[in-house]
Amino acid sequence: MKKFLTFFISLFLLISYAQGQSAIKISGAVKDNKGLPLPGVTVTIKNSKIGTATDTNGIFSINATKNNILVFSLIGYATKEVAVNNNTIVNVILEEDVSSLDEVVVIGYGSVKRRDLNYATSEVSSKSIEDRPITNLQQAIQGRAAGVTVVQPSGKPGSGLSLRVRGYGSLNGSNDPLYVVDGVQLLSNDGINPNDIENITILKDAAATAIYGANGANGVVLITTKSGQAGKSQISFETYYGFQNLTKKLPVLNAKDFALLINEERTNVGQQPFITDVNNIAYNTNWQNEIYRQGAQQNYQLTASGGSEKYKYYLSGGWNGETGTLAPAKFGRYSIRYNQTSTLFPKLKIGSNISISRINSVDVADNNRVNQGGVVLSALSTPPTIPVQNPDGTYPQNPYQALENPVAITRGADNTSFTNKILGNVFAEYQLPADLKIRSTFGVEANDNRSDSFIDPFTTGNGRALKGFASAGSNNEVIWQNENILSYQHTFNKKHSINAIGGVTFRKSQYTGTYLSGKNFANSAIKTVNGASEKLDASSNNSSWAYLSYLARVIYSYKDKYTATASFRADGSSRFGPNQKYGYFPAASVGWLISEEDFLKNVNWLSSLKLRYGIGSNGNSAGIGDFSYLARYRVGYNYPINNNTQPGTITTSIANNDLKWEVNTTNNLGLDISIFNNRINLSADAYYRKTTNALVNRPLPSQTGYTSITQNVGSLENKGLEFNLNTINYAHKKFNWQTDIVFSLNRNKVLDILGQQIMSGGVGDNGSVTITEQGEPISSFYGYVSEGVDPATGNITYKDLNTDGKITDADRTIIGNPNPKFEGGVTNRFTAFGFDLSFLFQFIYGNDVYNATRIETEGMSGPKNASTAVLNRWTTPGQITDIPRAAFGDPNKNSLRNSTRFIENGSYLKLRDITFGYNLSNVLKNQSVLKSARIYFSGRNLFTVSNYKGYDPEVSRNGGNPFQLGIDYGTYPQVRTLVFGINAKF
Amino acid sequence: MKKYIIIALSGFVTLTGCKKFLDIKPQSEITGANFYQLPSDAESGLIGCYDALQPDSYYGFDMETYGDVTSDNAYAGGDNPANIQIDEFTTDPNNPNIARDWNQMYQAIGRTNDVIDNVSAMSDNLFQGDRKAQIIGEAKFLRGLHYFNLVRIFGPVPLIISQLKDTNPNNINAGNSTIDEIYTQIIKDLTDAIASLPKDNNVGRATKGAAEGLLAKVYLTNKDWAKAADLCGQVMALNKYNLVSNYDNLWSGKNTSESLFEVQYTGGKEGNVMPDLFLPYPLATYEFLKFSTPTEDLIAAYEPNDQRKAASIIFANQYYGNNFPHVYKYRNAAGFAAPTNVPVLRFADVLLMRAEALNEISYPNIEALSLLNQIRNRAGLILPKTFIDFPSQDEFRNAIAKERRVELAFEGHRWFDLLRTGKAINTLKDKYPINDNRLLFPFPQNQIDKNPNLIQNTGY
Repeated sequence: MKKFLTFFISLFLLISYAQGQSAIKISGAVKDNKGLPLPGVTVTIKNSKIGTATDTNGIFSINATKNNILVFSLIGYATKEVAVNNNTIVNVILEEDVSSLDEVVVIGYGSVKRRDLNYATSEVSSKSIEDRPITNLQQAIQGRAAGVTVVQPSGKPGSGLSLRVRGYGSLNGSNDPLYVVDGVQLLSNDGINPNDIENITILKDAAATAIYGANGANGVVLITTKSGQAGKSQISFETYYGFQNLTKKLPVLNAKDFALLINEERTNVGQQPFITDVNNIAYNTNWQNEIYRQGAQQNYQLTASGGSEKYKYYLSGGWNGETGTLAPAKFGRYSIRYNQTSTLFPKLKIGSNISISRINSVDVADNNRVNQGGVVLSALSTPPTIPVQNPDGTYPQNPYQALENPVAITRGADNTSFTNKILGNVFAEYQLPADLKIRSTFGVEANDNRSDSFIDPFTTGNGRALKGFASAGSNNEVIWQNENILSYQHTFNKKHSINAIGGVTFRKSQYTGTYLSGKNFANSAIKTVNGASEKLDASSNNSSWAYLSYLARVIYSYKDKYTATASFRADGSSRFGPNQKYGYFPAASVGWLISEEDFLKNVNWLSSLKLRYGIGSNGNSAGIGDFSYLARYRVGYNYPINNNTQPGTITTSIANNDLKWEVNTTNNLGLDISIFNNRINLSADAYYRKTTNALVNRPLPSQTGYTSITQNVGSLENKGLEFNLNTINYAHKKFNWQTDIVFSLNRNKVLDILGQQIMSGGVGDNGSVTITEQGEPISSFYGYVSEGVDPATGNITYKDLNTDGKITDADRTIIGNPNPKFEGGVTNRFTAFGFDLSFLFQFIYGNDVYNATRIETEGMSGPKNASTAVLNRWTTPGQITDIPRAAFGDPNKNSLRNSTRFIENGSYLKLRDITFGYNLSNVLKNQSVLKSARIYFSGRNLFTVSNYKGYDPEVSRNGGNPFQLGIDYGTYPQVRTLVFGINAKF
Repeated sequence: MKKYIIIALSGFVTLTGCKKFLDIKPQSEITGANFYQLPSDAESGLIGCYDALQPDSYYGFDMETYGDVTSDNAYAGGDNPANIQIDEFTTDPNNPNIARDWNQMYQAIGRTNDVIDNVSAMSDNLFQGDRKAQIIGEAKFLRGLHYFNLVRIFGPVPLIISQLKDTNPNNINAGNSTIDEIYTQIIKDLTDAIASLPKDNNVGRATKGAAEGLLAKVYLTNKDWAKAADLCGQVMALNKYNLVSNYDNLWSGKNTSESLFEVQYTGGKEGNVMPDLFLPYPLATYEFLKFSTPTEDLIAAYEPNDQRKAASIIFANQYYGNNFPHVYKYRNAAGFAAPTNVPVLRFADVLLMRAEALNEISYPNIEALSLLNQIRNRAGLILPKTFIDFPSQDEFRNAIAKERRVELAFEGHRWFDLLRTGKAINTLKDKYPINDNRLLFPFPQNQIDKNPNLIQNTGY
């Protein structure tokens, strides 16, 4: 009776409420922003429990009144609210949701839902890779991941980029993160076709990377390649073609001003001038115009993918080529990939990912002054007074110094190389009872590289002296890996879920290198070493290393609200002595999804709020030799006795049986917050990363008879903040605008280095310019303080810091810091009426660059050309200027001293990428062959805002060597690229 | 269920750890524990010691720069500010030449320490006859030579006479030793070498005569005239060495009967850069302005009819000057890898040292005069000199000095002769800012930076 009454009253209330406004049937279609229907979308009336879902065609119908608001939600998409008003048809487009809590994030050895993720990670999806003229996967990451710095050290085609996660934590030269492709660790990541990448996850804090233990100390870059999808067969073709140009050329003197300069250099030191008649000079060659040309870039890729429930495949083949702006630099990569997974029996899944690529490249010599054959500096130093080529076909040298002109360097020598790379793995996964799964993977990485060079015996002075020279070198390394993982996943009582893994990994490498060379050729008909009548080098060497690791991890989650993880790893390496082979690396983290708590459940504007903390340790053993702990002797130090060469052996290293793993410990505190229905999403992390037992190739004084020893000395720290903000500013069928901002800052400091100072980064005759010492950031610039040009003498006055009346090495101090204060990137994406526009501004601020190129171009100390800045040089007493006087041999050391004169601000803002495209789906509506097509223009490095006087502030002569950061010394300049492309899907 | 777990776990156990998996040995290097086991190890270790003499940071170029360019025999030439500094007494501690030379000499010393320590510890009966003692003797000769060069160029350098075995800071950062301590060690090493070296040895190796000649020079430098004269006499008494009749044959040939010790080069990988650095084009395969330009002073010092002038200096028209003088002693240029030897000690040097020492002991000394005339006669100056030409000890002394200058030009001796006779400042002060402090070169800055216990020479 009571029940009947309650029902009647509620019905009455409901009817009377409903009669307040009359409910009508509302229907409509829900689609995604590509126009495809979305089934399974939940459609509810706001603040009620009335709801329905869209069918397989994305159609729904629901009874609602005109005051109702319909809420459309689907996992992976941003929830949308639409007021009914006077409509009976409500069509909705749902946008993909950038940070839905249920989005799956790949972490080491598996993946988790974002709500369960306690780690600091950054993700880059294939969307950031598509349609951009990039050749390396690191270019896809640049400016899009907070805390991840990507430096392109030069514009050379195919040049490797250095990628640093959260600063420099290692002093031994290996600060690279670990690259893992489809679960297989990689030694070298060239040969990976970026178009095959589905997504990239960068694991940044130790709690995440600890599961990788060995060599995960500098972060882990997890790459997942594309796979087929069931029921969705597709063939796609992507191509682009475009041009590259230098971002700028540096102005140098013309022939007459050059003649006046070198004469003045000589007369200023009481010597005879070089050129007698400065008004009748036959040539005025512009060397930069002679060697730089317009380059080109093109890419062709064909992929087929698809499959069924039991078998999925992805097949791709492509070619990417780049002709550099500095002739004859060139790069080309062929690649083929085949990924497949099959379910053989209901519980057994097998699969393979195999890629084969071949890279061909032609190199040019850079990063050196002309004396050592550097082309870039040769173009700036070679006198304009000689022609490009002599009538007899030879190339003239700098007549005062017999240094080669840049055209001679590039055309008189061939430097070609190719690399064959095979990367593959096969795996088998078997479902055991009791929620256990076992997976075994076997992977191989085979890198085979050959480099040949040839200097012909005619065109250059060097070639004539040697009568031709050829070399052939090869490096071959095969690394195999076997991993066996047992995993367990279970949810108890719908509240407690446990995800546990345990396993063992074997990894082993075998390396062989050979080198042959010879000289004395009859002519240039044969360019290989067999044409040399005099053989010089014939050498080969082998080496090997191995790792053996045990790992275990447990992820526990209570109601998906509280998560805790713990992991442990034991790594053994062949690179350490018998008592130190194993290192032990634990980690733990906790996370709290605060927004699921009752006290926050009703805060409507808050979509999610998560607090997470992790602490963990990783080891690093990369960057040291394979046998650094052993005392070793090397051969090849031969000497003729009785005019016959005898073999000689010397000692090259002292034993260090205490050599052990370098340890990185990171504390990470993170906050993820999403508001306004995931329209604004912010991730913030604060971290403290400390490296102890840092492995250093510590330089020894020469009196020991050794140059260095590898030891665990010292410690350093990196601490910083990272922010990743993305906003959906405007989401509408016709117009859409999203913004992604990443911003990070990192502070690096050497805590202890056994009281030493490691000085490095010597350029030319100037000695070291960087110092790494306790209490200062790594690789700080070190030198004299210049007080400018003395108007009375025209020489640079250096500050006498210890006021002892003379300028000595004690007057050196720290004069700059190549580490930036902060950096970041802003990406904006617009779509409207089928057009789309996205652009990335990337910036770096507060870093210094040592412009050592200016030591050559403003040195005025030898018979070399100079930049037009020297037109302002000091010539008369009393003149106030910033360029000192010209003096042959630089007796007053105006340029021979490393000083603040050459330190420049390296901050920049770059329009890194811009892509403008049009989706041709309207045009294609009436045919069924082409499913979709898109055309676009894309540009890279289109403009740079900076005060840097050299070619480009984004420069590093030594790539990622941590002791030699931020030095510009004739480095191949950056380029600006513009391409036009088409993507078609069939 | 239990069954499956057991299978899975046992699978793991069989797969897990072979300890041997991580036990990897080098394939292209020798470990310390496996070396110095056989006599061939000792021989190849010793060859490595000789190899240290060859690079251009030692006898392959830079020793000539110290020995002749610093003095009044030659200007720096070339285009390298480092050489110009050494020529003009403005050497800065950052000078790249002194950095690489210091490093090379200590590399060389390290190799000899390694051989001496390890071969001494090897069992005697592994070797044939006296070979073990000879090997140690050759290494001690070289060590004596290296320290003799170091102490004359840099002065109070650290004295390291055993191989470094660990990284104890006391051993790595040893400080300066005194010049006396260094000479004591040099004399000890060379005396030991004399005792164990044979009179005849393979071409290129140290011999008893070479050790005696070098020790004579050490005593002469320390003004120990009697011992110097005595050792020179011992070299002469070996009856092994004699002056070649034509001076030019010393330079068109190699390893002549006059040679006590020469650094060997056979071209290619064992090649010498000096001919290409000194000779005019087209004798040299490159055209740039050449190094070590002979001074007008030296050219004028040759007497008429002195055959040594044409053998030592060649004049040629080049783009940088007409009739320009070049060093001619190092010939057969071949693309920076010539098969040209570099002499360290010649019999003519020994004869002149004996003459000088005898003169210092007492004037007039007939043998001294006869030795002087022997050298001059060979050079085509056949008219013998008498004591009427040198009426005082000092004048005879000057005559020897002048004879040494023209006889041994460009062989790396002149500067050290000026230094030991106290004539350096007076000879060069008109042209260069030379003073007492500048008689020694500065310790390289990068070594001072690495070793806090090293004290820089005064004046730098």
